[in-house]
Amino acid sequence: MRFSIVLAALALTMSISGQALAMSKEHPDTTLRLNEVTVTATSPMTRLDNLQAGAEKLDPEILTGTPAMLGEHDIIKSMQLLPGVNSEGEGSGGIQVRGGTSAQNLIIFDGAPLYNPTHVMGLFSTFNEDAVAAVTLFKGPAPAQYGGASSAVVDVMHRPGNPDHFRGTASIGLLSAKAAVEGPIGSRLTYAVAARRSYADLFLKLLPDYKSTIMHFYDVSGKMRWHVNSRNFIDLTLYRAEDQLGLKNLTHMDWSNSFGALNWHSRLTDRLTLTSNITGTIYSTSMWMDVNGVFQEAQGHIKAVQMKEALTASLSDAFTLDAGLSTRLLDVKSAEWHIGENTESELRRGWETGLWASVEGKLNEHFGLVAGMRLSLMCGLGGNPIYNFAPDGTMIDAGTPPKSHITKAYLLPEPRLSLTYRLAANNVLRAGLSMTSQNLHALRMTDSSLPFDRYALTSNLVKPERCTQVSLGYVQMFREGEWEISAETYYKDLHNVYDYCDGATMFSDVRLENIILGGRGRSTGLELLLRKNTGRFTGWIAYTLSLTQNRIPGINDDRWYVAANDRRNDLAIVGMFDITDRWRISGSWTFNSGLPLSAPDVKYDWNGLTHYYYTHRNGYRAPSAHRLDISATYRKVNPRYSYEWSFGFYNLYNRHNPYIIFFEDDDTKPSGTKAVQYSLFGIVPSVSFTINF
Amino acid sequence: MKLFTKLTLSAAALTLLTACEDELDFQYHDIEPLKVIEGTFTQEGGGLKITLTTPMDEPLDTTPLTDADVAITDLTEGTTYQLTPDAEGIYRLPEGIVPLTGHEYAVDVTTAGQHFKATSTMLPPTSIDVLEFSWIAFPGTEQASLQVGFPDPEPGVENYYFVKIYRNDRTFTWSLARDIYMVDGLVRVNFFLTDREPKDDATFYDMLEPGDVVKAEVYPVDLKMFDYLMSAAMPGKNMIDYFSGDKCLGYFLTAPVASQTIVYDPEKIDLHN
Repeated sequence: MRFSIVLAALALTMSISGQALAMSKEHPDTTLRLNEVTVTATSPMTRLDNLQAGAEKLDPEILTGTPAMLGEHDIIKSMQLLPGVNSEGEGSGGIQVRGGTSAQNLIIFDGAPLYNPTHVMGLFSTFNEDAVAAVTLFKGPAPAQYGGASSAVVDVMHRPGNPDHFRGTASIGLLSAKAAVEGPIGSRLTYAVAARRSYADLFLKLLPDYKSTIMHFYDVSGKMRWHVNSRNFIDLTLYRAEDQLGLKNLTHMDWSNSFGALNWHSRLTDRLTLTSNITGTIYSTSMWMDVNGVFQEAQGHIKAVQMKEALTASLSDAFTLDAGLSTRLLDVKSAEWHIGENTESELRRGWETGLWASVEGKLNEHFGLVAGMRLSLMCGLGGNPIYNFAPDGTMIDAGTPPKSHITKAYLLPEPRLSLTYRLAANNVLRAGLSMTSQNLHALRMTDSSLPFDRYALTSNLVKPERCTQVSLGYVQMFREGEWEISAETYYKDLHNVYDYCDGATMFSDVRLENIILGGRGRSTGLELLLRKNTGRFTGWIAYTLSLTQNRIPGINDDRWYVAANDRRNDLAIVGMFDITDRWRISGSWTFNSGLPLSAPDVKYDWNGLTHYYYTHRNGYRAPSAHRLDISATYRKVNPRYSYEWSFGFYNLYNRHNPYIIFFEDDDTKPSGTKAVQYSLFGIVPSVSFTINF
Repeated sequence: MKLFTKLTLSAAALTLLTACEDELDFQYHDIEPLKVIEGTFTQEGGGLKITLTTPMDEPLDTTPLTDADVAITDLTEGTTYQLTPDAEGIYRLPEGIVPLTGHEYAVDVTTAGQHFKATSTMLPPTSIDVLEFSWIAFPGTEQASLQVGFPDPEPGVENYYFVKIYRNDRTFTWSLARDIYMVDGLVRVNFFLTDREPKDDATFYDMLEPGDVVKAEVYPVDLKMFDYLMSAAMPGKNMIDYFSGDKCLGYFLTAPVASQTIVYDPEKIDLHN
């Protein structure tokens, strides 16, 4: 399969530094348009040249070629089919990488961080495939320029717009309709705009019983690129995604992500490039209800303003140096509750700075390395009431320091190292080591991320989450890259993993620091991949064996326990076949071991109701989950336009996979109790129509 | 906020298109039974019951244990009372003894070589000033909301409340409240109790029948009890330990109770929204 996308070499620098320079060397004439290069179906063999362990530059077209739920192609969700990557649960759009939770990932879009970028309570990501130019996933050691994630980094780049002519696409599926246009404005400007909206609410309004229902999502993004001159271009990206769910005058929930990003790419000399980046992100949540005159509302937000300077210097033909500085102001409202006539809130502010330097290159024809160091400085800032703990564990007021006052500072070195050893032309051995930290801690009420999770910011009481990861992998290509096998093993050790204290819920106390405890986590695993890269039939088999555990004081008698996101066995078989030039079929079969489950061992009478007692945290496992998804696509290309019909079935054999398992009274049972499994999706058909012009 | 939690979790269900429910054949682990102590003492009396936990695959056994030594000490006055079980196995205070407002009490339970201890403070009483139903319209149905309203007995002091709802004298549901829930001078708690339309497969806890007597009880509780009840509201997790000493389940509550009843008559309930 061939594809072509237009990228900027300097923008590539942001995602995989060093590779960009290697490309510009291969295409010296591209400097005429400031490093724009056309990447055309690079041979899979070139993946062996990648010096970064655990990094995968993902082809959006392949990712969106896999079957999709409800016809909604989802780049983030498609990653769940890769080794070492899995979903949080049935239907979830979040990804868990190497034992991390989705909240431990850093997801950035044109340099701006996004928080919980999901629609429909987490079923889909907010990335519209028509807006995406490139995606890079770092499962292992991320380059030193990335900070703020104790698990994976997903770096997504928006399409910059076609410089030669106007193009557009529009599609409609069962859940949403979307459209995207791009093209040039004059000789120096290009643009790309993409938008998507669900439309089920428009039909619900026609039904008298459902006319008060509010249920829709949308996302819209746009990017404009200004080619200032042959050495400079500036990108402006704007983005907003929002979900609303509720019943008019009774209850309402909405959550949204918005950002603006300004990126200035400058080639200072033939060997020196500079990227300046300013971004502002707002993630906000709100839910309220008004029952019988009693109004209750819960709000929260994360606001981040960031500036970043990244310098890439070509030291020699073999080595490049990346260095830079980023600084970010964080404003996190973990909760603001309006109940009746009263208000309670908790706000935390922090100043996060990263300074990094990294060298990448080949020592000889066999050895290559990426060696970097990031210094992360996190300062908790005043301006809001802060607390301390008395010797007896009681939280006590520690006053309200001035806004500029630093309540606590943490300076953390974060070494990053990737080593590669080319054994032969068709195989490579890779090893990685990284230390990372994360200052935004998501406290989840369930085992999956929800838009209304509360977030704790590193403060005088909350420490940065720290992760150390080592990995070792081997990749071999056969028949000039047609076939590929790989194996990679890893071990991760985490400190300051926070969770709610036993018995506490997100509404127990507005002072989040009073109801959370920090502990440890560890994860180890083996990832195996067999992939067919070229030909009419492509696909892969990915298998991951892993173990993830936590130990948090006060939980499970302070002993290690299997984490809720542990996936012992994870298998994905994916195939895509071009039957003719017009017809393509694809299918994927996935299998996951049952998720860890806290199930009761005994029951008892409590206040006239049956209650349960759980001896061990996650002491049981839910039934395993598996399903087969298939899709068929018909594509017709005309001189001035093309169109595409897609038909699919999610969960073809109607497997009832566990989503929630609960225990309840049932007078018809001899024991008076039954275990009930709730499944989200049976077989789900889908159809969509797309027109490209 | 318990209702908020429920709304948040159930919001996912709103998005479901093809959801389905199956019963699981679940193999439970065997563990040694634990003691469960439930002690509630109000200005009207009350008692303490000791039972054992029941394996999940057996019918719930609520047979009380009666071989324990149970003593309650008024820590404010320094007086200790020995409790003896009645014919139903409930440990009672001596005749005429009830907890007094502002006093702190400790309970000591000793049985089979194990010792359990807990304390509780008797707070000032409140009264139920509002107890009324209203219909709330949802897509395709209406739900009866019961509002319980009561004054803050100690303005200026943070108070916490345990609100229980009975259906025909059997526990139906419960919730928690704080002073922050105050609207127009009353702390107000809403319960969604029943669908308007009858269900064929409804259990006792699913809905009310016309003519049902619904009773509301409000107990002002201290912070320790509030934290304990908050943990009880969290599905799928254990409650925090209320007793110190050996491991047991349960609680010890001394609190004044305010109660009031209302008859469920669907025809006399107004639509709110």
